[in-house]
Amino acid sequence: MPSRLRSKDVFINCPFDDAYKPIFHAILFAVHYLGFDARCALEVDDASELRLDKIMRIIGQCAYGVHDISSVGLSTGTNLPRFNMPLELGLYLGCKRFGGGTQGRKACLILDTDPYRYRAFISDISGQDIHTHRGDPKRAIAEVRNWIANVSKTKGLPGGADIAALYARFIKDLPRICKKLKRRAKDLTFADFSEMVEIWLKAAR
Amino acid sequence: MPAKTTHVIPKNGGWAVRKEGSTNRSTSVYSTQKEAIEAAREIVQRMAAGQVVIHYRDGSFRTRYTHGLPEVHRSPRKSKLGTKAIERAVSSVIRERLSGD
Repeated sequence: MPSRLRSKDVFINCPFDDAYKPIFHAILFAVHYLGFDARCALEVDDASELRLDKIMRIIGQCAYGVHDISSVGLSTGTNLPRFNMPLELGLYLGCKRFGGGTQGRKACLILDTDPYRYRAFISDISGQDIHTHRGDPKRAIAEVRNWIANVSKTKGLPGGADIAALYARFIKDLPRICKKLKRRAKDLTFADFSEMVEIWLKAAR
Repeated sequence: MPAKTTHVIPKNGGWAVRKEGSTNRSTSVYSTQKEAIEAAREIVQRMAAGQVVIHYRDGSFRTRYTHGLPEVHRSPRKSKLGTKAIERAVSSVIRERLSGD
């Protein structure tokens, strides 16, 4: 039975390593600021559920998806490419196409570092509108903002530059918030960071 | 970005009204919380978008008179740090920042 789409849920498909965190966190902030709920495989700490089952369950519930395929380079440890992001993009597109029910209403944003780079490693998505952030969190915020405004048909949303400026203020407050909670910012879980963003937005935007 | 939030914070036994992001350190202090909230409400009503955040002495806060801003979606998934603890930490940092500490 197809999952019921949640109109405010945005599936975030991206790397979770430290090098990518500035863009991951910027995307999470923009999604929350725009009134949506960011979802990803990190949200459930349940070892009894297989990772792929978890990802498919979340994909089935999300009306929207942000897929960053920029980190497909070779892993330094294994010298092999990282295929998780393209795999999850494929699952998302497959769910939209074959999921039945309301799944066909799904929309997604595909991000890469540079225009047309994807043609060298995932040419099957040629013809899709691929957006670029060039590794810059501010550009990632602007791309997410413009796409959400477009697909959700929401008028009057603040611009990307305004959201990026607000994000800079949040990042400045974050170490002090963490210190009061006796946590290091780098040790925050996805749930910790998301709820801090929500509460900070309610208090300081 | 022009700040959208006007804060009502406890100060010297009264209640101060401060705009988020304002570099102006001058503060209006009211003897009652009700007067301060009313003054803050008048400020945000003149703005195209805004909200009033009232910080209580116990460290909690409440958002009121929000208009022209996207609703902040509250995720059903919660941090193990605790919502109340995060609220107190956020409120404390904001109050310190507004006080210039």
